[in-house]
Amino acid sequence: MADQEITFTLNGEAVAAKKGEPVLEAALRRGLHIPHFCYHSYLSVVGQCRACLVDVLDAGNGKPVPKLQPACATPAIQGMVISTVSPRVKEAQEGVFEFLLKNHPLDCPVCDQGGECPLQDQTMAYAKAVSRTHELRRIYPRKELSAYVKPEMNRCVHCTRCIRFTHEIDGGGEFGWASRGDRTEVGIFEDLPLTSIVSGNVIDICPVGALTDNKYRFTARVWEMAHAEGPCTLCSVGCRQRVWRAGDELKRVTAGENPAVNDAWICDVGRYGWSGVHAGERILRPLIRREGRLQPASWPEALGHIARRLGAILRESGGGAVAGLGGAWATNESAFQFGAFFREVLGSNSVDCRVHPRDLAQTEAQLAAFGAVGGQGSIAGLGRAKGILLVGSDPFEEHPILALQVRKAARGGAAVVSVHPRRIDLRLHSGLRHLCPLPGEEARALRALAKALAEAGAAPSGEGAEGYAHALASADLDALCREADIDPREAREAARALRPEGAEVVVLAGPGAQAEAAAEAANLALLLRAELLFASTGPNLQGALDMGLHPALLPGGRPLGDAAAREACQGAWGGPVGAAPGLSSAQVWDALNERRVRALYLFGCDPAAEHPEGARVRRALEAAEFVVLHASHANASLDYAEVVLPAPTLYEEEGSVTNLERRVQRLRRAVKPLGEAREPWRAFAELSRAMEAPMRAHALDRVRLQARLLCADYAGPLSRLPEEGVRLARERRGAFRAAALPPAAPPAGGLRLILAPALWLSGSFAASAVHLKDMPRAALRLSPPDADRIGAGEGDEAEVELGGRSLRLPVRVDASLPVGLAQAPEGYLAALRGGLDAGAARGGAAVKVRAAAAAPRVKVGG
Amino acid sequence: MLAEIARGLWLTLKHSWRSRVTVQYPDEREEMPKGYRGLHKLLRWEDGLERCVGCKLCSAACPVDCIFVESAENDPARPTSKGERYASVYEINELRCIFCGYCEEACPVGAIVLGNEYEFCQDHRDKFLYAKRDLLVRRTEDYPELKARYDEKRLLTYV
Amino acid sequence: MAIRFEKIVTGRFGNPEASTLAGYEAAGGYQAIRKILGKAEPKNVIELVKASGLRGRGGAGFPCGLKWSFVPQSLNPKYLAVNGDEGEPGTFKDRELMIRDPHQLIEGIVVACYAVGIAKAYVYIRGEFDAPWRAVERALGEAYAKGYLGENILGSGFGCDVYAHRGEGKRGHPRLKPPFPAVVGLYGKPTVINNVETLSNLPHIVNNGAEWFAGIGIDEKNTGTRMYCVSGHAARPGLYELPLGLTCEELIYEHAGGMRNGKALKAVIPGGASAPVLTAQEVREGKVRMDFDSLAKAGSMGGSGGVIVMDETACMVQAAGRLARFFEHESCGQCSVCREGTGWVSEIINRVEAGRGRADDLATLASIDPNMRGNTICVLSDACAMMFGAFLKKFHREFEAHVEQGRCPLGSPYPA
Repeated sequence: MADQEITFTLNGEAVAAKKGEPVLEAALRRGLHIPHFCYHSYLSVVGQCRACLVDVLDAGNGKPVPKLQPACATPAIQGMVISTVSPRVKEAQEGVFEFLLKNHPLDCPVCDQGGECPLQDQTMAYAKAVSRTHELRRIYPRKELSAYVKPEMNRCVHCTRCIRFTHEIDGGGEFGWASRGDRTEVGIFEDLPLTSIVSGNVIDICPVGALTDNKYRFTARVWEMAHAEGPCTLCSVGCRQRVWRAGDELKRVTAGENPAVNDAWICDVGRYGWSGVHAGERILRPLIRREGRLQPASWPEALGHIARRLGAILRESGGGAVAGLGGAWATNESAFQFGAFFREVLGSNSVDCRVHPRDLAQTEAQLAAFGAVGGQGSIAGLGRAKGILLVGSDPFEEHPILALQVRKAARGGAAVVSVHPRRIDLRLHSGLRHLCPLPGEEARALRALAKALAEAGAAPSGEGAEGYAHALASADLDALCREADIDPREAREAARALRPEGAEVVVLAGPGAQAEAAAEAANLALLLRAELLFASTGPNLQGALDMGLHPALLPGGRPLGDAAAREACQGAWGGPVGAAPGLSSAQVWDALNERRVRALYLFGCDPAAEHPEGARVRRALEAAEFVVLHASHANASLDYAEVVLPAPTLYEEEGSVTNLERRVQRLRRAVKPLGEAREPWRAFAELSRAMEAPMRAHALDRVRLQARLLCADYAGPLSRLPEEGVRLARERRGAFRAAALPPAAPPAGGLRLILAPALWLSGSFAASAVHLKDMPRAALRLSPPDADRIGAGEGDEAEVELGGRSLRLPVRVDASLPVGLAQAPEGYLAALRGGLDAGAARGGAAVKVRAAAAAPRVKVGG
Repeated sequence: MLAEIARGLWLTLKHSWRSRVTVQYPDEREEMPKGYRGLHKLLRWEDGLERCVGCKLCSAACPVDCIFVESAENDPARPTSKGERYASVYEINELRCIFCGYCEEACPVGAIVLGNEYEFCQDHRDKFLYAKRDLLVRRTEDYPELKARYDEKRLLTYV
Repeated sequence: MAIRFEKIVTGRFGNPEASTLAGYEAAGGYQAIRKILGKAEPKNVIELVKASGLRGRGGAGFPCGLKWSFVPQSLNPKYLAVNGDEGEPGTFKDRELMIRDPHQLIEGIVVACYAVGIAKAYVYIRGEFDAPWRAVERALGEAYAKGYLGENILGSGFGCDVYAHRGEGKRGHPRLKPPFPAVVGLYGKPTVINNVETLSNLPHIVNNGAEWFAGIGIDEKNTGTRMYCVSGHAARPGLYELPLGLTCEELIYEHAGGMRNGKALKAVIPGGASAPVLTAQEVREGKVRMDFDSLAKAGSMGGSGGVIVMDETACMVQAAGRLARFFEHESCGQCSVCREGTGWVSEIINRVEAGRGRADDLATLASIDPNMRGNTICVLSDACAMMFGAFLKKFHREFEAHVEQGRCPLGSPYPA
């Protein structure tokens, strides 16, 4: 029994622990402090620093342990009696601290760690007050690590937390140690720079000032700052983080702990993305377009203008002539209010948070299979799974913390199968199998995998099982594999590895899983009885959908056709709700061109830049009679807006957000809204007043009250949220959909380009964050043979020609790509927007690439 | 009654024999006692580098929050202070200051001291906001009386 | 008790042919495995070794048969790691065993593997040992060719592989115990770790029986012989295989030819760098015997058998300083205590020797000593503390004189 509860005695106090857990862990949880440096709950135990030595007076068998034992490596046993205050423990502690300080420079006033330094704090608590060292302190040669991590290795106490982090968690293994004795040096290998997207965690775990934050360096001291703890809002994972501010300025972000989501790690995008809050691109006051130019205006003016224009359109064409897009970058409360504003005040159901076609495809696939979106899987489940199927997902680039969870599972022996055109890198030595179909043929590869699973004995059961079983029975594995360009042997091996029976399997669908692939992912999840996670890009897409930002769904995910649901809404809002579904984000563009929709309200989204069918979207935006942009940052859609309203970022708002596993977490305001930005839920209430149809919800608690009434499972979370949030899980039951696969595309010659989102390059927020500029630059990735063929090396510029437009991008030679496939970051190809349509984007668009300019060569050595 | 008058006169007489305590300021000036806490000075090391490393402990110690410090990184080629850090901004609001001397107590490098100077009247409130250039001495040797302000043995000399 | 003099592991050292397979076989080699493989029950072999009283010759003197019986029989694979590192100053026995009689070692390995049920053994030979490495590699080749190693040795059905290795592929670090190597060792599997000399004794125990082996040595707990590596100011320094239980004086004066140039004995380090130093007086008056238990009773230890003899001209501060440098250099850097402590100790002692000692240095040293004992993952820190603790205690006057006079009173050159 691993989880058996036992008790032991520490300094006379009873401490509850799980059997076998480190004594130190149990003591810290109980609030009894034992000094320690090398121990970290989420890293392996090495027992090196020797600061946690304790006296085991009774090892649970009535006998004392003769030597002092490290509490971090001493498993808790029932009836143990431990002392941390006995004279010999005191003496050992004083000795250890003396040794630790023997070579540690006393430059605390200069050091950024000063004030939050475990060495400083524990020295004050446990060490002798006098120094007896007369020797010169150790000095290492100065080295740089990266743009984010500033080393001062003279302060290092060799706890090896950074080494263990990069080897165990991150997998890059950048840190290591050299030399012996008191010359032991922790550092990175010179030919292996610290470029990992989660490298910033070494700053948090370093117990001294040896690794500090280069971007935060000397900008503030910890005692001047206040922090807000809550979920990160830059992607849909929702890692717990601490946002620190001094005065009205954000200073830094550090990792928070949430064992259900991110353990104690955050990615560097989350760590440095806050710099977008203070970016020059922020919209700080309302703007109204006058004489062709956007000019500053007051809130009443702007709201009055919108009310007048919308009022006229409503009178002339009715509510159906107004459509709203966005909400995935807002709190649940603001998203709820956005939907309520449309349905109640404007009488329009055309409100949709899924601006990107990918989000639309994935959510519709889930609705088809499960009747609801999300709640079928958990992030913690990913971390402890025995089998993982990744569909169109490259987690290190898209959701880095999910990558760490996949790695955690793999280290625990999980088999990981990736279905992605590229051989994605999870920094695993073993356990990762690749099925690399042609781009656009992911669904076929998944069907082949399902067939192989059926051959291995997996039988679909439940709703739609018969049809699916029939589809699998009639499928030909070899033909499917041939068309998808995968090896049937590998498909069979992957199926065996996923172990259809008994093992816990998680299917993680990433941005590459679109349309048919998303539907097949759902089928596979049902076939494997697996948990299913869809990793969307919008941080609160899940919450926005739950709040009813869907043309056919009301808050709580209840269908519009349900009269009782409509009545409930009417009861809460006061106005009637139309039964006819509105326009989805896919239908809005044609409707705008055809003048069926005259006004468009863009709430925290930027279709002009981020929609893959850019040309069509821009035409539609131009055709729109009246466009409102309600956003925090100036973006490409600004050009089409008549009125612009400033919104705060999620760092400036109170509320709640829901992550991809449907965990509702409380968001705390980290800094007051910049400029004249005001909370969107308030703005909608004020706008409704300006339109002389005031909404009932004019305060946050009223918004929450309505949301609680209408969204049944949010009733609890919105009234009381525990620190780690509440995961609103759904029953894992759905229906197989045995849709026929589209005909296989004829083999395409030449180079095909696929687009994939990179977290640090997607969205206007990330683009405006100055601290993210040091992340890897946007690049065109080419396989080594393709790079050779066009004669471009790493870092050279290549000219990419696509649909009559061209763009220059630096080349990155990437052996994970098959020959004939190129990859570029999505959302960055703004200049190429005209050339891509959705089909091509999915199957890879034909591009011409040629070398444009060689990178400046830096002479090495000499 | 007479006795009381005599006692009063005696007291007057006694005081007339005592030495005068009035100082004819500004013609005459008293020497300030050791430990007098007057206008702040920011000191330098002997090589001319600023002592202050911008650690902000003074501002943390200040009970009335009258010290504002911003720190920055030294240019290794032309350092301002020893070590990596220096105070790019150092301001004291002398109107708000209560001359408690906690800043001096907190300073690990003996940079900020309260000097003997008490004559710093101004005709405008804004002028009491002393910036770094107003506080920084040109040469510490010019102020021998300030040396007694800090215990040299307790300074951090690591830098 | 009369001590029987008999050479065991060095019996063939005079025979230059013994390092080859043919020579070894001619000298009676590979008979032990013929005797037991497939014929004796493995657990009976363990019992035999237990009965012989063979103790580990690496340093700690842990009973060999007992160590084997800790290995869980059900867990497989299991490994044997042969410790041929021999890193302790003053010790040079395993080197000679590997060069002069490698087949004796290989036969011992096969015996051990058979007894514990091990299919793979790794001989760890450190990087500086080139000749032993070549000798063991050559001998392994010969043994494989003749079928003494590999599958189905001598048709017995038992097989084991032996590799000469120079590490596990990781930085050389002591690991946290528990779990002990008997359960989680090499590559995370149950592992027996034995010294070269220990294993070299095994063929003889099998051939001649436990009673014969137990008959050599002073008592039932200190049986067999020990290879003493006599170095320093003895007239005839060298390698002496002698029964356990001889006195220190006998070793120095009867076997190692007494003191060089007739000088007086000042101190002896009886068991390699880690063993606390013994003064001449202790050696003389206590009649210290050189077996495991007698040395432990005398406040030192048998260690790795390196006997460092020092005469009256030796400066004890210099000796301690030199040894401290060894510990500083060998500390792996894991534990704070050892990483910083060994360096600090070395710095202070060598400072004192150089005449730059501070008045509080000796007090500092004395107070570092207890902090370095028992608080680390391995015992290198303890060894360092035992070493300088003994020097400081037993030759305190000499240390004081260094500090007081600001120079070495014996005038020994610095650095040594």
